[in-house]
Amino acid sequence: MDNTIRVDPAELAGVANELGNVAPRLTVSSPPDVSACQSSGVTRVLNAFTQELETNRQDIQEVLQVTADGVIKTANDFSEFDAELTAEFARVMPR
Amino acid sequence: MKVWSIDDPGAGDMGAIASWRKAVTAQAQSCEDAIDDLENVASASTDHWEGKGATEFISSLGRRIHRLELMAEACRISAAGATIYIDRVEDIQKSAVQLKRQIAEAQFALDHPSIEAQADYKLSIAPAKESRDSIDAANSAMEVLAYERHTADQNLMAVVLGQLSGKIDTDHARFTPMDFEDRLAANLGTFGILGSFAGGIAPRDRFYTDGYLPKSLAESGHMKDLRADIIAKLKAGEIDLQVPTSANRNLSSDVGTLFSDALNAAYFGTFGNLPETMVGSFGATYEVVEIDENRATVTFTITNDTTAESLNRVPGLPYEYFKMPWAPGVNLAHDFGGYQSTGQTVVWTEIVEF
Repeated sequence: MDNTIRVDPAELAGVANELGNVAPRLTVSSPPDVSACQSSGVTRVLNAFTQELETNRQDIQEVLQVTADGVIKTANDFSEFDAELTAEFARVMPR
Repeated sequence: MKVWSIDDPGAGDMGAIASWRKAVTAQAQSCEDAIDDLENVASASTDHWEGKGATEFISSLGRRIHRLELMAEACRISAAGATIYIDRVEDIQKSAVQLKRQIAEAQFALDHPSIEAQADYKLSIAPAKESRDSIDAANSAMEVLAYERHTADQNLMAVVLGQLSGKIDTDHARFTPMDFEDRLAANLGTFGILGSFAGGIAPRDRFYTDGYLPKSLAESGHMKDLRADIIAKLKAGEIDLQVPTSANRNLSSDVGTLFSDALNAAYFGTFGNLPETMVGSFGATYEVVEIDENRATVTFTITNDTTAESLNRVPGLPYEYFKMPWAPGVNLAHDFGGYQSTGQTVVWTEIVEF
């Protein structure tokens, strides 16, 4: 099987648009300061959780955005699809 | 940072935790919304795509969906833990307010004896004793509340750390034996922990999610036995997913194991496992958070209190009558702020194959 996604470029643009809409929706308002609970252990753990959550969210958001960009690029120039999108996928897929 | 103390185990604004819970719950919801969107993209738009690129694309979306599912679940469970914590601490706060009022009233009565009591010395004894008993009872109850607050803190930390280690941090470490440098760092690091404990400068709660302490505990003999037991149960299909299981280690009467640990630590070229010897008896739970064919993701949570009493105790013998020879020095240092009780929580995640 070759590396080609056999699909209408217009459909690719639609998919890219949907993916592009997903990423921003993962953003939530900045986390609250929990130090007022006056338990240093709890504060550190909750902050660590929030921080890791944000790192994961940014990572997923970046992957989705890169994927959407790759799909858009493909939709705009279908002839370059194989090289462009497959390279983008190869970069982000293992994560 | 100011922390709650035995004088006020109800200290703290639970509104801050409630705000955190709200933010985390919102994050769970946004993850679930994203999952719906990605599933729609994967199923509706691409079910007729062909080629290796299409396969990779769908596979990638699947991995993103799985990761979002883990994030959402971690947020939901942590938020639930926060709810339990808030309820418990608010109860503690109410009780603490009542006890403080009881102490204040009794103290006021002591400081301002009635005219009748002042006139009659005999009469003054009874109210004074009553007030002092009331203060003693309230202080004792306050100590119980402090322990309950400490337990509530530990429970919430264990819940959140478990999610952090098991679901949020996706770079699960497979268990691998420590090399010489790691083992050396682990054993030397123990002296640092004990030093801060002896100096009274250790934080009241310490937690470790990576570094030498989780590594060395994961390599301990007890954990190797526990890991083998978990694998046997996984093979037999006897483990329920996401159910914390107790695996406490109690050395208080197991003198042989304690001394063999100490001998290993002291004499053998491998440096033994001094961190585990230091931790000694501990509370332990493990939770199988995910099973993928013959691989299981397991989160281990170890909790332990380092106390002067524990340091002075002769294993297997009643503390009241037999103490280690250094007990008088430890007790003296304790009175001057050293050897103050500290709690350790150690969490790590492994992938085991069965």
